[in-house]
Amino acid sequence: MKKKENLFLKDLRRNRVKWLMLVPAALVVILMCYIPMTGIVLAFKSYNYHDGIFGSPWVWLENFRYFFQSGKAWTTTRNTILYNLAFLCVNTVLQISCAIMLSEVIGKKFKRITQSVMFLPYFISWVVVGAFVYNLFNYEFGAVNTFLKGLGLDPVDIYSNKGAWPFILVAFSAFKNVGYGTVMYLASIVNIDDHLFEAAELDGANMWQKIRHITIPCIRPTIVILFLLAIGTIMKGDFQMFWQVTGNNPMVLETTDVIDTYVTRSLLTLQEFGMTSAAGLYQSGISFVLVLIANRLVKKVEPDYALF
Amino acid sequence: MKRKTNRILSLLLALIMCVGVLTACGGGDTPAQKDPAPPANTDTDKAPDTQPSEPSEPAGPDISKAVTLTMYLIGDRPVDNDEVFEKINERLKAEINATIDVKFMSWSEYESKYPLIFASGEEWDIIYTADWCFYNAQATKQGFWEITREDLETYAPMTAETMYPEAWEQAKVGGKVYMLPMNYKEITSYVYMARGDLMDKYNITSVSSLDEAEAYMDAIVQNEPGMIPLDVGSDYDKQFVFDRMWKQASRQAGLTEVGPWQVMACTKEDESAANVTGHYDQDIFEEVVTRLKDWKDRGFWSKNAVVNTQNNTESFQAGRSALALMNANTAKSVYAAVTADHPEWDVRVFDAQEDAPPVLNSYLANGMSIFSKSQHPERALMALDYLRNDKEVNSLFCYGIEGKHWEASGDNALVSLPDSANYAYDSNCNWGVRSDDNWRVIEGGIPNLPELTAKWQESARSSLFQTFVFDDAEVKNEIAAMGEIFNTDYKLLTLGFTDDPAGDIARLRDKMEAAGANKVYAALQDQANAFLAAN
Amino acid sequence: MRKLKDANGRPMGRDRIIFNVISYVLLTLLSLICLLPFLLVVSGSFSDQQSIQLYGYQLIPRSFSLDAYRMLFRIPGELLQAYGVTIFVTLTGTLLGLLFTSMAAFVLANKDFRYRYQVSFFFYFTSIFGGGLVPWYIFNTKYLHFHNSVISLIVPTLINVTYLLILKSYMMNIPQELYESARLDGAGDWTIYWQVAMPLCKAGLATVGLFIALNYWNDWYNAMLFLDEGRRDLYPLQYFLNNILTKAQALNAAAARSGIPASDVPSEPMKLAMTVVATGPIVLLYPFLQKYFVKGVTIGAVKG
Repeated sequence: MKKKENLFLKDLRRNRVKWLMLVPAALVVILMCYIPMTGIVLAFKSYNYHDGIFGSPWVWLENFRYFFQSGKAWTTTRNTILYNLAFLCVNTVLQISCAIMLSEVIGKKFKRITQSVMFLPYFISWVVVGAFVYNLFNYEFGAVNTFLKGLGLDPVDIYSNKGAWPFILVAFSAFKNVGYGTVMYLASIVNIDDHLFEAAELDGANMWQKIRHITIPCIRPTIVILFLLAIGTIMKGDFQMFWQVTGNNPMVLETTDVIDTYVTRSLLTLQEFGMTSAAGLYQSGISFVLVLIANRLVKKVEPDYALF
Repeated sequence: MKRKTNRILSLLLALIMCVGVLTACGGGDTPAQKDPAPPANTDTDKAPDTQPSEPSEPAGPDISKAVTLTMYLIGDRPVDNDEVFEKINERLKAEINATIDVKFMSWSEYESKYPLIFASGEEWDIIYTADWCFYNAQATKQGFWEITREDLETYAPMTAETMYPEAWEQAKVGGKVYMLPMNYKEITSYVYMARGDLMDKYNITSVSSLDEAEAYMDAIVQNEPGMIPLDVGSDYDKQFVFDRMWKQASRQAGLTEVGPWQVMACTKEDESAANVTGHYDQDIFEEVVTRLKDWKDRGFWSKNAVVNTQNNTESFQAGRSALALMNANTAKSVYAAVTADHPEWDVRVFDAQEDAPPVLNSYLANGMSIFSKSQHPERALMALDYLRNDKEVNSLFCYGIEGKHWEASGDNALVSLPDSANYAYDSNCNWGVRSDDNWRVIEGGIPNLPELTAKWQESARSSLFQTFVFDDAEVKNEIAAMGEIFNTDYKLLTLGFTDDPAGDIARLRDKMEAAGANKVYAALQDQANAFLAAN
Repeated sequence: MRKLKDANGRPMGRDRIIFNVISYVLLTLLSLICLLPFLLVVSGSFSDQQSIQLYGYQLIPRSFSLDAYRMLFRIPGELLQAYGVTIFVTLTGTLLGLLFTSMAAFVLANKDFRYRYQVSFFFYFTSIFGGGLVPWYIFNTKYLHFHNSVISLIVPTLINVTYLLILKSYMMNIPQELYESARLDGAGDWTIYWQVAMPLCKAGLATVGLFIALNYWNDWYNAMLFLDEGRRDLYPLQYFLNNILTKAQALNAAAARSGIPASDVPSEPMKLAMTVVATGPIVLLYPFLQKYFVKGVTIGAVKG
């Protein structure tokens, strides 16, 4: 034990510049995250202002009950995970393809303009996107039905169609994030050593072979880390997206309800900090276990790519 | 490697714990002047108050030290707010040696910010509250200073005299009062607003009952393909049509509502004993849902009503719908706006109450409370006494400066002046201090409204459980689960979205029972019976 | 047929031409999909309330109206002030954030640093577990006294652990031999970070810097939590715009209560106009950053 401590102290002394370089970021994280994190105890308490966070009476697991009692725990957990997996797959493929195409096209102006344009959806808030969706799919006045009626076809009622919503949500998630995600992969691609490509060209490799054997392997660390980070947020839903795009529509909840929307709906008027906290802790707990597993797997194959 | 991780983890834990202890030390300090004991529902009787009484000299409260009270209101600061409060403060300074500093929380943020200012350690004194604005939640979390009858007599003598006893009873949470509810009898009554031009076109003479509304909407749906007869479904009006039908039906069946809205409970209107059931257990519920389904199927409202974001008055104003349903207060402003924009529509207003008498609103719909950690709770109470009862101060707060923002018209009415754009009538979060003694109505507006109002005032009555407050401490989880059902399955049924009313109601019953409805109803019944026995 | 040449003047093979054609078609399509809604937003912001309520968003507005912008720009001084606050907060926050983030990322990407996994875990853990809004708010106001100070707009957003780990992954692409040779030349850790790692990671820094900047630019939540309405001078742009909207709606309701027919507040077009006004940074900043996203400018340059 003593020896190991010495090891740590020795490293502290030898690498003091490195440790010092960590200090500012660590300090912010301690102040903004670790200290408030003690508030997790709220999940097990019945909070009141008089006794404060730590003095309020314990209720232990009582705050978790409503979540599991409703029978919605399983549906919402399943939906949250499946949606996040779908977003992850679709968005990653789309973003990588865009990044590769953008890095290869020759027109400089074209490249710049498309890149900027693809970023525009990021600025359209989900409230406005929700209004678009309503304008498109409204049964009586929506653009889709106006078009169908123009062709002499029967109008469709998307808002009562459970099956349609996963596709709509995935499409809008892709739409909103394409520019943002592409930049991340693009930054990774431009860092690839040009000599690799030149050497491959000399060997007579064509475009597809270069993409498959050079580009993709070289951006793998970025893909892996983004994948691991995504596992860490797999239990969280982009609340605004689900709430605004579906219009909080009770007819299709079976396929669109995620944990965050469910919790918000139930606690809208109750204002129980403990119950909100309990739901959050449930989400964090599951994510944490999943991340530990995923990280261990990655570490076995490629220790350098692991998160921690 | 693993051992090292462990060590780091334990280091981390140690750090967290240190910090935890540190925070804990500062966490529960600043004791309130009075110990707001946890609200137990044991002492519903008016137990003589036990807390040590404040050092109050017999000669009256000590006001030798000047204080500034911070008051939180909800909304956006009216342009002339500071000018109005300058005048109010002149008076308060002279009378009680205190001035008020007003802070506003805007409508878009009050839901997040309201609970936070109780927790933040910031110093403030008075806040607007209401049954819809977290009164119960904050009172049970000991966010408010308890007001006793003795406090009223010592610090707020005018209020002690004018306060309606039923309002005082209503404000009790676990037997204790934390709010001065408004002293204002407000009735909510509903009206239909219809297009006169379309009525004449299709020979409709009146739209003042469900049947007449049905005939009118049928004419619209048959002849005006571009219109939705009644564009309901938004959060604001999703229940409106159901409410109309349910009120009529439950009146005939002799039922009355009881408990918070999420639990959807009713009982026989019987003063001897309560027998609490869910709406879904009543036969009339199926009748109502079947009629709603019929109306929905005939296209009286949109097939997408459940995701409507526009409320039916906005749709009506935009010319997309032919009928609107709203409460009489909203009707005044909508009427003014529509007749100005579209005189050719010949808008007409009809009574939508039929034979269901309008209900007196809860007094808790608006009120003022004092922060439990206020440094000057007594002075805050004195200030509230003036804001509520002093004619000059009350009028300043409610309508602005006389001669600048309004002009008296007799003793009970006023006329708004052009400057009222900068401090509008009854729009400054002054609702908590409304008082019947000082109230002035605004002149002008809907031609037949005075006649309707007279009728409503005659028939209005409080419901049997008007002053009943349900203590939900033991069933919070169940209520959360039922709130979810209210917002989903119940919402669909009350807008007629069902293919099989009987089957869907049975499914609703199953879900409610799984969520613990029977436990809630049993608790509700016990408390309601205790309430009936006590009254 | 003349041979097509690429940007570097090298002749292009058939595969490359095909790839380019496909890319042009797909990227054009995608851009149109991204552009169309934005055009709808722009045109909607120039129409009046009623035509949006009746007909929805239209590419060519049925009526032309500047009311929405007139509402937003009614007090130009305050709008400029809000722009100023946002620009100040974004600049300060991004520079500081990028500095702190890149220092930490550099250390964590360094294979010499034996505690890199543990420290990474220390950072990462905070992105999974959080204490929730209430404890965070209490700590920030009661103990750090962030209330009504400009610091409350900067510090909470300063370190985003996700960006830190992404930047770390970019930094891990830098060949460690470069560090070794620098070390042999007598460079210390700081010099290596500043003179070797930073220049080699421009694309990564540009990306993460852009993300941090966007967070600051779009932030209104911290302002909502920490600023009282008495500190209007500290309102950042997004919060300022939001406030105009709610205030206008409230004024409308208030006017209606007075029995005076309310002047219609164009709330729908205002929402859209707010999007247009707030899209500034991407139009201004992004083209400037794009020079860092061109292939082969970084490592080749150092090696060559």
